[in-house]
Amino acid sequence: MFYRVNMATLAVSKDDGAQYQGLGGRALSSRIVSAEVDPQAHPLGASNKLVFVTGLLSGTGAPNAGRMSLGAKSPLTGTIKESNVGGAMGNKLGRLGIRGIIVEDLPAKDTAYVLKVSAAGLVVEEMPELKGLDIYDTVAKLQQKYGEKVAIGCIGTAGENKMASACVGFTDMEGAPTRQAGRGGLGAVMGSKSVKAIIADDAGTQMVPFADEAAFRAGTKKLANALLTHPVTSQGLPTYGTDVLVNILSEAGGLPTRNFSSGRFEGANNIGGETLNATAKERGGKTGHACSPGCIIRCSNIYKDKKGEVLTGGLEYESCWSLGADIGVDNLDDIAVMNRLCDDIGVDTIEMGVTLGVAMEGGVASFGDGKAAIELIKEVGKATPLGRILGGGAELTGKTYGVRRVPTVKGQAIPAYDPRAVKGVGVTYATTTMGADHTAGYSVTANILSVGGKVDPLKPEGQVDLSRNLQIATAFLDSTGLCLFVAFAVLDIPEALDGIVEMCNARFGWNKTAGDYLEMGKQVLRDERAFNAGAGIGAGDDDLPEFFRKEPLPPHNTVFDIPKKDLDTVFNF
Amino acid sequence: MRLEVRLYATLRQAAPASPDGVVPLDIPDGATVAEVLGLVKIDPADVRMIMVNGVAAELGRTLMDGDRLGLFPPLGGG
Ligand code: SF4
Repeated sequence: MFYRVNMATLAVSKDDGAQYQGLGGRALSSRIVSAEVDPQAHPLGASNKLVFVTGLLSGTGAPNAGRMSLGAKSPLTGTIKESNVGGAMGNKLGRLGIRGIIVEDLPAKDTAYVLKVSAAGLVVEEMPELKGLDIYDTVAKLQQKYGEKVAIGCIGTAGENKMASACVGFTDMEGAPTRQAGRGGLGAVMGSKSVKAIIADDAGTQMVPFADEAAFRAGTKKLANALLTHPVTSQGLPTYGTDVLVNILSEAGGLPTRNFSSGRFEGANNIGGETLNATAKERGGKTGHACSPGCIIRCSNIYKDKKGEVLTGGLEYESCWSLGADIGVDNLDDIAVMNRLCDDIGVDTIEMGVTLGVAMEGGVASFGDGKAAIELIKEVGKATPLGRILGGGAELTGKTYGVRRVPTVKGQAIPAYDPRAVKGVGVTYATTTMGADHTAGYSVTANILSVGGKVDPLKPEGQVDLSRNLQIATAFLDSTGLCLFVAFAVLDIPEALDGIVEMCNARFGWNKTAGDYLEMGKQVLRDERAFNAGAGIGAGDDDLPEFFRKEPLPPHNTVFDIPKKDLDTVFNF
Repeated sequence: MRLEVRLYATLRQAAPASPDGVVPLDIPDGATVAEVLGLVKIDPADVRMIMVNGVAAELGRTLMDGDRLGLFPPLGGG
C-alpha cells in the first residue's frame, strides 16, 4: 500500500502502487523519484518529492531487515538520492503493510506538520509548537503526545533552515534518535515541505503474510547461521562496533587525516573501537547494541560521558573519523559531544566533519582544536551566517574560504577511506550515482579487510571490476531492507545469499534466481543514472578532485591513478 | 634486530602489559611473521590481516630491522 500526501492541499490518498510492483527499498525509492520527479526540478521546490519506502523484507522479522530508504532529488548533490537508515521505523512501516509514503508539493503555510501513520491510516497534524526545536526535544514532545512505543523520524533546525547537509534523525529501539538518514541533505527536502516529523505506530498489526512461510523460515535460518558464524558479524562488529576501523585504516595508511593530508593519524588509537569499547565498559555504556528489531549483528553502541550520563549513541566509525582524525582531534569525549550536537541539530556527521576539516584548512580554526570544532557546530545550530556556510557542506565551505583541497564528488563529502590508499573505494566514490559514498560499493572489503577475496589497495588493477560488482550487489541489498553489514557474511559464505533469495521469493511467491536479483540491482543503477543524466550530471562528473591524482598521500606516497577512461567502464553492463 | 609489533582488537589480550597494543620486540635476523607470532604466542588462525609497514603481507614474509608489524583478527565496519 502507498500513501500520497500533498502538502499544498494536505490531502492524503491511498493506492496499491501497481506501477511499482516487485520493488522495495532503494529500487523502489529510485524508481519513484525517477518516474515522478523532473530531474531539472529544484530540490527544495514544489516538484521535488520526498519518499519513505520499506524494503522487500521489511516487517517480516528476517534477520537484520530493519532498514528503510528515503529518496528525493538531493539539494547537496543535485543527483538522485537514496539514504538508508536503521532504527525502529522500517519494521513498523513493514508491519503496517506500507511500501511507500510519497510526500509532494509545498505547503501554503510556514508551520510544522507531523505525518502520523497507524493501522487507522495516515493523518497530517499541525504542531506549530515543534517549530524551532532540535531533534532530541522534538522526539521528547512527540513521545509525550503519542507514547514511547511509536517510531519517530524528524528534522532539527538544520532541516528547517534547509541546509544542504541536513539529515533526518530516527529513533532506535529505546526511543533515542541515534540513527540518521544522513547523507545528501534529505532533511532539507523534508524542511522545505514543513514536515517536521513522521511517526509510525504499529499497534494492532498482524504478522505480514508470506506466500510460503516454511520456505521463508528456511531462508531465515540460512542467513542467521551465516551471520552467527562469520567472525566479522558475530564477533568483530558486536564487540567493537564499526569504529574498530580507525586503527585498521590508520595502520594501512588510508585514514584521511587533517583534511586528507596524511593517511595515518598518530592519535588513532585514542578514538578507535578498542578505546570506545574500553570506555563503554568503564562508564557503563554499551557496545553490541542493536539499532533495529531483528538485528543480530548489533554493531551500535551507547556512549556515556565521564559522569556516567548518556551522551550519544550510534557513534560510528565514519563519525569518529570525520569529527576526529579528519580534523586532527584525538579525544573521544569531544567527538561524542560533536556527534550529539550533529544528531540534535540534524546534520550529517560525515559532511560536517569533512566541512570542518576544509574550514580548518581555510584558517577558520586550528587542526586538533576540538573545543573550537564544537563551537563551530553550535554556529550551525544557531544558523548564523558562518553556521549556514558550514551547514551547506564541504564544497560550499571550500569555495567560501578559497580552499584548494576539497574532498567531494558531485558535491558530497568523501568518507573515511582515502582513495589514494584504498583505490577500490575511490572508484566507487568517483562513479556512484550518489556523490561520494562508501556504502554504494564498499571495496574496503577486498582491499583492506580480506573479506570476499583480496585486491591490492595500492594498485589500480582489479579495482573497477571490484567496485562494479559491489555497486550492483549493494543496489540489490539496499532494496531488501537488509542492513548492508550482512554483506560481510554474504561475501564469504554462499548460503547467506541463498537465504536472502529464498526469503524474498517465499515472501512474495516469486521464483527468482540470484541472477534475477542482481539484475534488479543493475536496473536500480540504470534508473539512477538516467535521472542524473536528466539533471545534467553525467559520465564527465565521474571522477575524483584533481588533488587526489597529483598530491601523494603519506605514508605510502601514492596517488589515485586509475585512468578516467577506466572509470567510464564501471557501468558497462 | 628490532621490530615494532602492533596488536589490535582481541589480539591485544596477548600483551596485557601494553594496553595500546604496541609491543617493541627483539627478534633474530631473518625472522618471519609466523615466527614472530610464535614469540608473542598468537595462533595464526586468529589473525586475518597482517600489515608490514602498512602493506598487506603473508605469514612467510621475512621481516627487516625497524619494521612495523600490524596484526588484526577478522574485523569489519563501514
Ligand atoms: S548491524 Fe548495526 S547498523 Fe546494521 S541493523 Fe544492526 S545495529 Fe543497525
